[in-house]
Amino acid sequence: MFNTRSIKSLLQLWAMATIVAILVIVAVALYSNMSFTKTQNELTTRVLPMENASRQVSSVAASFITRQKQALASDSLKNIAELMPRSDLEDEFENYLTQLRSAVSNNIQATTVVMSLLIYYQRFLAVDTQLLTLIEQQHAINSRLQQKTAVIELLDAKINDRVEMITGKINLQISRGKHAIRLSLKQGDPTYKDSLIENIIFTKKDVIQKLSQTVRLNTLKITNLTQKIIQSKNTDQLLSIRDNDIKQLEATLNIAIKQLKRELEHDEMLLKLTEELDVDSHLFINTILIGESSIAQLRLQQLENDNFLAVREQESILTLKVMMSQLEDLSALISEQSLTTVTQSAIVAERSKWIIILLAAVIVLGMLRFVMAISQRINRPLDELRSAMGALSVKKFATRLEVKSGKSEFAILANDFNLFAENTQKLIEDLAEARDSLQVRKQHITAILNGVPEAILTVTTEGVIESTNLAADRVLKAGNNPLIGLNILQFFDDNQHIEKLTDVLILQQSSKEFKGLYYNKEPFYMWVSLSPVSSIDNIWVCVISDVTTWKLAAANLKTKSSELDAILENAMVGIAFIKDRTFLHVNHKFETLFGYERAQISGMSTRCLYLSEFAFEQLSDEVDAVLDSGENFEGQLEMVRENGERFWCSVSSKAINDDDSQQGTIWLFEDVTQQRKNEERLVSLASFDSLTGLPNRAVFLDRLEHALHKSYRESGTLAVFFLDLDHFKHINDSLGHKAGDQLLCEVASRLQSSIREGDTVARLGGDEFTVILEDVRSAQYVAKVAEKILAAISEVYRLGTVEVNISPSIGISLYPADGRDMDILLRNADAAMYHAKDNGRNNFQFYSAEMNAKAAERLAMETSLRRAVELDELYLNFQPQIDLRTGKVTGAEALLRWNSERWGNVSPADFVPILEDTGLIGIVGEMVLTRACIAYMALKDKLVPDFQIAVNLSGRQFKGGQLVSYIGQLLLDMDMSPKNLELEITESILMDNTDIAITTLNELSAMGMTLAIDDFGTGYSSLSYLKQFPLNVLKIDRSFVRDVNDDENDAAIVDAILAMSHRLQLDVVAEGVETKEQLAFLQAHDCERVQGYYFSKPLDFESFSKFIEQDVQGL
Amino acid sequence: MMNRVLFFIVVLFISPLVWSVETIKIGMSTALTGSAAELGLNMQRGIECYFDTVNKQGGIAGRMLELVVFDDGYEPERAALNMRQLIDQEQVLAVMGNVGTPTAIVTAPIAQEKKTLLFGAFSGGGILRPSPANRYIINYRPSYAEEAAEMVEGLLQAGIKPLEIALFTQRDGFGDAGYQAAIKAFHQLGFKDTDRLAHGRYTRNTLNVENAVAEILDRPTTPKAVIMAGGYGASAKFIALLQRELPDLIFLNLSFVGDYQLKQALGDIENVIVMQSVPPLESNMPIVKDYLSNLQLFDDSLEPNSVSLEGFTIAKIFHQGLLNIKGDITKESIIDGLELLHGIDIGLGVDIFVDEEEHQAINHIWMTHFKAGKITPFTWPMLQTKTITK
Repeated sequence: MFNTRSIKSLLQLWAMATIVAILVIVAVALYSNMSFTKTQNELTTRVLPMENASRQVSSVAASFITRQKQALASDSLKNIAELMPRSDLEDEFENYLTQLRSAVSNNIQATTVVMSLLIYYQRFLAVDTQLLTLIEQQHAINSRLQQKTAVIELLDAKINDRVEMITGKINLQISRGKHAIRLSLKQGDPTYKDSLIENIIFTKKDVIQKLSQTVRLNTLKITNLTQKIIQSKNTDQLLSIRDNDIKQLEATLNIAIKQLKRELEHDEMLLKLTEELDVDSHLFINTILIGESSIAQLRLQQLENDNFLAVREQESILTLKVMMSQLEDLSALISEQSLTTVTQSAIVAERSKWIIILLAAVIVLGMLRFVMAISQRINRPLDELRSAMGALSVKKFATRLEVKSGKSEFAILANDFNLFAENTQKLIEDLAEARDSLQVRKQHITAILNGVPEAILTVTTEGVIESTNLAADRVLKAGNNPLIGLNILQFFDDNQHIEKLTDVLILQQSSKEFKGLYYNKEPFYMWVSLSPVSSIDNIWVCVISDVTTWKLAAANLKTKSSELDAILENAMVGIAFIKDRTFLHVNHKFETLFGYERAQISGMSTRCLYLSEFAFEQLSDEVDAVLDSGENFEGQLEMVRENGERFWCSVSSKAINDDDSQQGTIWLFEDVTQQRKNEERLVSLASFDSLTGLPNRAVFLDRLEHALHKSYRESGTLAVFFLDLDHFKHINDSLGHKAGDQLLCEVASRLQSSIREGDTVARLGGDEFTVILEDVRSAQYVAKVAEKILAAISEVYRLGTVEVNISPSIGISLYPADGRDMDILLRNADAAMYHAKDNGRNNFQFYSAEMNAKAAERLAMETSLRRAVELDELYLNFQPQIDLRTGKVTGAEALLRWNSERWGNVSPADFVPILEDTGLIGIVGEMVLTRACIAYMALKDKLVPDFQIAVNLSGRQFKGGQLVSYIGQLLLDMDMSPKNLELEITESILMDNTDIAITTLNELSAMGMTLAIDDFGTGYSSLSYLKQFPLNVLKIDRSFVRDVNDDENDAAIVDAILAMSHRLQLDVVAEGVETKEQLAFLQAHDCERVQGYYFSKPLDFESFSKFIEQDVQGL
Repeated sequence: MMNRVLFFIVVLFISPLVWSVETIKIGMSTALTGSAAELGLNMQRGIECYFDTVNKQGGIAGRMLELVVFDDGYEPERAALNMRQLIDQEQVLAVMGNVGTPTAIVTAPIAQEKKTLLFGAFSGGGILRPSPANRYIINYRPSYAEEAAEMVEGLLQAGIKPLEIALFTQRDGFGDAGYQAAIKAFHQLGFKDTDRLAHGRYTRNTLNVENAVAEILDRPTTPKAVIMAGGYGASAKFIALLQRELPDLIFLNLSFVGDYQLKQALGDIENVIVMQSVPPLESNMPIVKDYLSNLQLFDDSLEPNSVSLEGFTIAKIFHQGLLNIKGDITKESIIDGLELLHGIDIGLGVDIFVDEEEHQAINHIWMTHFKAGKITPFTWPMLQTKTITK
């Protein structure tokens, strides 16, 4: 086909074909772009409104529940009226729901969800209406109750008034009688007296007074009980008050009034008053008890309503939960839909991409084919021509070229050649005929050469041109300038490094094409054939033809293919051509997406897009595997921009050649961060604690379960922390809930920054937090984390203007050592936490099996102890105290003892804490005080007048505020002087609750009791409270006395305490004196009083009473 | 023609002023119902009578005086509610003429809290007379302590022995104030054994005085005089019951009882003396004359009495205070105006004096007694004559 056409027409044909191909490419690109725009439109017009409407619906649903909560919290009808009208919310909700419905109208599944949402919404409305009606009823009842209460108060006052009237009238009558008697006695008329005394009023005065008081008292009691009814928490309590207490009082009241009536039946005026009293009292009772609108009935109804309310509230919350879950389903559907849309658009882009690549390949192939055809079209005829010429030059003048039909340049050339050869042959033949006519021959040759279109030159070995044909001037554009004498090498472009003629000879073996320079030094492409003419003359023939036009046509072709790049360049997704994990090309969108310049990234490793080396390796391997199997890779992953910013990217990748991904891959990137955020927000709504943003209980349990599975599979170890803030309630109580919340948030953030990224912190509610540490290598590591948390949380908090300190107690259980299942791990961590609290808070404890055993034992002991208190198994021992100055027994310490059938003799150190924890200390403490005083009073006559019976007080006894009045009453009842009672307190009481302690101690001191500080030296031993508190006696702890003869330090301490006490005018009692040496030391240092085994162990009452009758031994 | 235009312009300028000027709103919480209603009603009438007089003369710079009255039934709880409502909702500039000590116990702290003047309360209670003076409480009348001292001193000087004096008090803040004041007076006059004095009490807002009568009748020493701190209803019943056995007993009442109201309730009974914080109606004091003529103009159906005279008097003092104000009439400027009343004669026969430290306008006590069916002025020598003649 090419053979018959001219090169020019071929070029035209080729240009046409290229244009058509480019048009097709443009069409495909346009289509791809349209499809992409369509996707964008779909997202903005359908998916986003859908998501927006769904979000609005959930927010209005939240407003519903807020409104409901406000209604529940309201305390009057007026408050309810002030609430946002529900119709507003309904309108809003229905409006959004309609939007949602129209937005999902083409998605059957979503429409179903929306319909069911609507049904649940209507159900919610119905329940809400019921709830509101109930609340309104409650308020209505409340206001009726208030009215009734006012009536009761009025009646109470009225009854009071009547009783006062009755008693007043009787009193007046009697006083007047007495007055009359006095008068009549003065006037000497005693008879009047007798008549008066017979007066019924006189005789029954006391009875009537008593009955009247009964009426008043019972009315008062009933009024009080009515208050209790109004405040009653449940029907049982109410019915009990109504049917037990009030009915009984009512009966008493009625009997009293009846009797009063009977007593006063002779006095018309008083009887009338009593009858009025009766009426009032009935009205009073009726208002409280009888009928539908009685206070009791109203309260009953209110309690019943409360139950209904709770049920309705539960129901509405459930409905709302269902609605929320439907909204979640909906958002899942929405995101699925948007994903489908995006994927479709990606497929279109993908397809057009491949069409473009294919077309580009077709163009390239066509070009190759064309170039080959051209070169064949030129080279073969030239070769033929050359060989024919060669043949000619070796005098084979009969050589002819095959002449082809058509207008091809070479057909003409061949024709011309044949003509030339024929002529030459003829010439040669002529020459042969006229052999010696050289001139003729030369002329012929010249003629021939001049007829050739190529430049034909003869040159010397050095390259100097010796002769040219006519065409040479034209080909080399020499014009009229003579070529002869010039060097042929100057027509070769310098950078081909041709220095001598043989270089040309060598080069033309590979290609006869050279870059040439015209005479005027303009570059052009030439085709050169150099061959020696004869070795003898050293003359070479050089044939040069100009091929520039053809070359330019070929170059033009090449530029066309770059337009393809422009299309890829402007695609809306980031596109990268990657080979061997190295960037080859990227498009503009890629540059904006990742922030790299293409020049910068070209040749770089793709590692720079990934968060970490690990992520890079992992994904690359994964992608390679997918691509090698001939599939396309698609996925979403977090990538990093040039500026370090992370974002979520949808990535798809495809090999250029499906069979060999090594040839390179094409990657598409799209930013999906926003989309991901929306999805995550929907998930977190349900799973995270709204205050701190930490996972909530449900998420925590879920994670723990996963972590346990993982540890089980990998035979790993994990740790669970339970963390509770010590005394957090104080913060809430004193600074308010807002400050408390702020503190919790701060604690949450400190917790999070104390652990590794993969570990979990969750808030279980209130001030309880948990931590899961996975893959823990050792208990030491866990302890280190716990220490870190302790330190972080114990740092000072700044809440507004206030600085606050708080400490945590942490319990830790380890998997698998402390339990293999979730419940046991949690329970054990909890137990460990309580242990931590018992250990003085602000510490952490690992769970140990002893904890459970200890807790069980303690529980058993607690039970025994309760029984012991009930059965009065606790008793007192008395340890005498000796005054070293007089040698007399001047005091005794009362010591609580418990001899249990089950536990034997239990140390007070073990059972007193239990008494304190259970609150039994209140009863037992009073029992100890009472018995100690009874014991003292029983022995009083045998004791010195200043004898002091010492009783230990527990810190708990200070808390009720009853201590002072109890002791005061006790001493009064016993007729015992306060100076004989010594109260021993520990240092910790003073340290713990200073304010109440100061007041209580000051009051006790003011009453005249002696206050002693027990176990001095073992606690904080701060001198400051010795001055703050009204202390009289200081008891040196036995641990100092024990080593006073052996340990210099202890001796120094005892000496210092004694010296200081004398200066502060405090008496000192040394405890635990056991040896003569100890006694001697104490005597030498002016210790006033001692107690200990050296003189006597603690004794029971009988032994003690004998002990005091004897003289003290050992002094 | 020109004149008519001018007149029109003047009318244009004045008329909006006339219509838009706000009244000077003064609040009052008092007993309009219940056992002390007569006192409350008469205080109200006295004040309104004076305000009416001022308003008829064009008010104060064109602003009318308005009295907003709420009934508290002599109950502290309602008084507190009224006080808050008057100040917060009615936006009154001051509260005046409230009746009662138990109510004052709750209203005085509210006046302090709301920075609103409580003026001329009908109470001699100590709560209204703190030392140093409270800026927001200004009184007209002398304290019960002063009245009680006057009574005890007068009785002892008339030759009556301490143990011949009995006490009758209401069981509340007022009664206790009267009792304490009398006991203090006894102590100051050298009698310490006050526990032996006969003392009867009764419940507020009831007429249950029988027990108190019995208490006094049961005494072996027959009392000659009773010092009484009670409302007029209960006091009248007490006097009536006791006079049956002890017709010569002299009854001395704190001014709170209201002589006219007591007289109304008792009928023609003698030997009743009432302390007064205003001059007797029979005296020729200018203010009494002023009062009598204005009351006639105000409402000729009203009977003159010392309680409404007191209302009239405090309204007059209040008016004098208002006249001292230069600039806006505000809650604070009213007090400043009153504190400029340094020794003004308003026709009482004694000058009134108020400044930053002295918040009680007068220290003088008048007395009346019931004689021949009338209320006439009383002086101690009259008692001496009485006791001597018996």
